[in-house]
Amino acid sequence: MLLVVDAVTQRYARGRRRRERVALHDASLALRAGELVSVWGQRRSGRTTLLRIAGGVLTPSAGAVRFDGVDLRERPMLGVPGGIGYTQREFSPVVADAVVEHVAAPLLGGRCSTAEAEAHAFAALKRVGAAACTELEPDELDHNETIRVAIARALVTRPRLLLVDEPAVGLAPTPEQAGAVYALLESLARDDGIAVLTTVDDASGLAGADRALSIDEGELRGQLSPLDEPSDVVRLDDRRARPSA
Amino acid sequence: MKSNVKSAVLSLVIERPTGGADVCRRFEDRFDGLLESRRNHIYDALSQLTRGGLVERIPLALAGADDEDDDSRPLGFRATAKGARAYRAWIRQQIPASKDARQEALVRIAATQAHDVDNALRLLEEYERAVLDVARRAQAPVDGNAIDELLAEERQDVAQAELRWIRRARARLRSEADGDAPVADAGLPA
Repeated sequence: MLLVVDAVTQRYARGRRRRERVALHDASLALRAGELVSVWGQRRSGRTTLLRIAGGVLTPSAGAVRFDGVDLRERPMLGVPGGIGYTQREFSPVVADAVVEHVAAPLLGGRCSTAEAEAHAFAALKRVGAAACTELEPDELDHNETIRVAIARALVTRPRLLLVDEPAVGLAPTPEQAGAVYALLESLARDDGIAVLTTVDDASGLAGADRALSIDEGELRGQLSPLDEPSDVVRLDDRRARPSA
Repeated sequence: MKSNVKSAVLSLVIERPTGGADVCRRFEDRFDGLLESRRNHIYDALSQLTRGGLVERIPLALAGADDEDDDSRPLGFRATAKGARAYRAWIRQQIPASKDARQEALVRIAATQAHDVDNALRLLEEYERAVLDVARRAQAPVDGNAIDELLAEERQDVAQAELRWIRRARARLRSEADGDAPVADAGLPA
């Protein structure tokens, strides 16, 4: 299993004399490579906390998250090549100006030259259908372009798991807008073999998923693990396969 | 019990021992759109339940029914212990994943006794799982036309409404359970 969220609880402390908030309550989930899992939830359902914990952005109050069998507390995988890509819509002007520079940024500081990083960034932008945004600045992007560029930035490190919170925010609920972004996520799973975990607040975002889950009051429901694949066909022993006398 | 109509009729008799006409009226109200509710089917179900020993005839006065249409009938219906056991087994039975799972779960939610919050919540979860599966499959074919797309959108919109209802229903059942702790199977014959 690529990702295992194991009995995770997340509590947030609130001000004095106020009860702590339990954003995630004993949530478990498993994802296989190349699987698209969509989680339906409304605001304050715990959906964002789930993704942040699955990516290692947050450390859970209780329980564990394992990526490729290793606890994320021992080996963080966020932004690591072959690890986890977390889609964030915010683009800091301190980091860069042009979109291609923002998308390339996660690769800089390693062995990649700026030119190589920008070549990878351009390929990622092309993959998500945002090649035309390369030279624009983030402020110039509309909602549709922003989410695509954010996905490209998460993809540039070639993650095996992509986390996308509310990809259709600000988009019209049409096949051309929200539908096209959901189709992109499906294609990343089907064609590129990337496991995708996404949250949606409209049931249209569940269409095409391998598994659809729901989250409410921090409780995750639905088919939480992939169904077992049928076992390989086993050759019958010749002797036993003969008809009995 | 193999028939959902029989199980639904039994649930109504368990809820309130009563006459046949009252069962028909309540069946139409409760299972409207879920199960076919022709009166002859409901009376057939009552006869079969009686023959099977799951319900028994009792004087209407004892049943406490206000059976205006049924003055000629001196007897009403009441569940037996065997009927209560059969009902409990049916309501607790896991719903297998299939295209009918959504409908099946909804029928059983409608047949749940008002005080039985635990089973109502469990069935709500089964219903939700079925709705999520419908939503997951609500996708127009790649080579589909405008009608295919519209039908997929209709299924998605219905699923959205159902998921919102499930969320509301769960919150309400939990809040009622907090205010008044559920007593499992209260009111059923032992």
